[in-house]
Amino acid sequence: MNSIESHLDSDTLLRLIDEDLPPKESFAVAGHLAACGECLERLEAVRDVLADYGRFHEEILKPALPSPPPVWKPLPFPVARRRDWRPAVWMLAAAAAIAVVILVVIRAGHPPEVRAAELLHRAMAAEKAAVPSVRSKRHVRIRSGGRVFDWPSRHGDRTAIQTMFDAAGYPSEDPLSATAFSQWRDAVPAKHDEVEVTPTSLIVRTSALAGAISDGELTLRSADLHAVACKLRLRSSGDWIEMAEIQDQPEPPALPPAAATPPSVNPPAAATIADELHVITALHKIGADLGEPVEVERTRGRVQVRVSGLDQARRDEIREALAGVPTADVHFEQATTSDAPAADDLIGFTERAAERAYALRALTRRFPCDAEAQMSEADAASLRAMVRDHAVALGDTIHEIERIIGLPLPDSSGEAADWRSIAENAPNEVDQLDRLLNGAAARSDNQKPQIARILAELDRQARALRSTK
Amino acid sequence: MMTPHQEQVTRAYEGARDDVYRYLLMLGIPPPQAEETAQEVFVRMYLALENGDAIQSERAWIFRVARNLAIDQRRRKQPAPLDPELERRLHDTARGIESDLIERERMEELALAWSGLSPKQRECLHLRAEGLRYREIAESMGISISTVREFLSRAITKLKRAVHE
Repeated sequence: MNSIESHLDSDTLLRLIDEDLPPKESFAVAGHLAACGECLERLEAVRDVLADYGRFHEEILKPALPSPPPVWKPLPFPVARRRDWRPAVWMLAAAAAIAVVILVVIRAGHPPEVRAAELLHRAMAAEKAAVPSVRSKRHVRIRSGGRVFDWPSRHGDRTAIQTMFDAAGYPSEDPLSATAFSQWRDAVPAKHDEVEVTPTSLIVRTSALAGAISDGELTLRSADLHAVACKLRLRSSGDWIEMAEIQDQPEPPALPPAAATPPSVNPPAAATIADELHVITALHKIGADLGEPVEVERTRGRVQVRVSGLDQARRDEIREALAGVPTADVHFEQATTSDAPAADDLIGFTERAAERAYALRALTRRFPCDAEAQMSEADAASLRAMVRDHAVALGDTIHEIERIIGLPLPDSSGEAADWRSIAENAPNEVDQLDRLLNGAAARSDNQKPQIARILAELDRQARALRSTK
Repeated sequence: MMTPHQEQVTRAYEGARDDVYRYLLMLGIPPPQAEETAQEVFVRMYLALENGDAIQSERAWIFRVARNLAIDQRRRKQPAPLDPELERRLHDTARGIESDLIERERMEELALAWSGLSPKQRECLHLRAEGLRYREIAESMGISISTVREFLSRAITKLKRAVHE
């Protein structure tokens, strides 16, 4: 966030217009605007362009898309599945017929449903054999529709959890278990199973042709067939209920107690900026710091990492990457799938350059000079290593753009600024490049020297960042 | 005689089906499937209400489910690129609007700048223009709120340059 003295950046102006700023920040920004004509003018320019886009959206874009049907069919309201859903006789008959067909088809080849049933049977036996005290100590985190519950419930969420599972027709007593999954699966009249074997786990996936849950996925640890994660997809909304076992760890401290626990008791240490850096470093190592839906925030004495969407493999990578940071809490929310990566064209490469530039700026803002001064030598070195990584990737992308447009880059020299100044300004440089590469400008010969100059300058800055010690 | 849930969904269907249809087209779903998928969204809304699911923001829910269905379809089939003729039609539409010369030129500039946005920048702008808040856009697209801000900010900067510089 800008201090009251500095000019407001375009992100802040946009967030102000869209009422996305927290009240305190909004108040500070309003105070700045009252005293700064330049920012006020820029605010009006952003408002104008938003209004222009609003008209473009309604008057140009929508009419240019294929027209919606002039007459829509009436909605075919189906027979709804209520909580106490009892399928009609004809539905049961149809489902049974489908099940027979599926069974015949599957048995003709390899029989995954048999493997799924057998695997679940063995996992249930393992659950029964487990020492009761071990099972009762288990903690499970349940997420659905942005809500997060812990099981066993501590804060009266038991009813909400039960209601949620009842609505889905899924057993709520011990939801993350082979027994619960099996009970649900057995009650599904028509289904298709898949079993995936990974080096560490066995994953049973069941697609149901009827019922409130359309897909279920249970992950069993290979070593002991212990259920470690489960996902259930609701047929109506496409949303997921996700359950994952959480390791026993110290509870995040709630509000700071009025009379703090005596220090001799060794309360769990609150996360520091160094912990936050460790989280960012861990994410950086797997490339999860470039715009994927991963939010990192240090609150309530912990580093909260919120991941929304992403496929299971990517989630596992993130979970594994953060396993070594004890003060990090990882939360997985709603599964949707990201789009395919950007195409290998100019827009795609400029987008990648922008990702790196914004990641660099985020680093300098998240870990300002004074925070870096408090870091250990090793942590400061990690921070610089991340800067270098982004610089290498930025440089590579610049060279790809150079290759596509076939421009020889002029020599670019000058005083090497410190890494923070370069990082702070990098998004502006990339935006400028983007502007020149867009539309007709890129095809105009007289723009090419300017494009080449900016590319050369970005290349020089990337090289300077690469040598950050 | 409609039930209260059927009335609620019918109202939503009549009010938002064209917008959902266009959003699906933007996501690369071709027109015939877009029509069917748009209907499917509202059928699911009805089933969700009947099932007792809480729908906090109706519009955000509708767009999120539309996107989930579009992704499912694209997984099953080769994703179709956005209509390649769209850019030409945008320019033609901008050129043909009944307005003064300055407004026509501005719309043409915007059409050109829009062509230079990345698909995600376009989608963020689209959802914002459809009335979704940043959190809702993030949930719908499966990206972080800070990334939504970033995409929007970059898109707006590009559009601003195209129109006002």
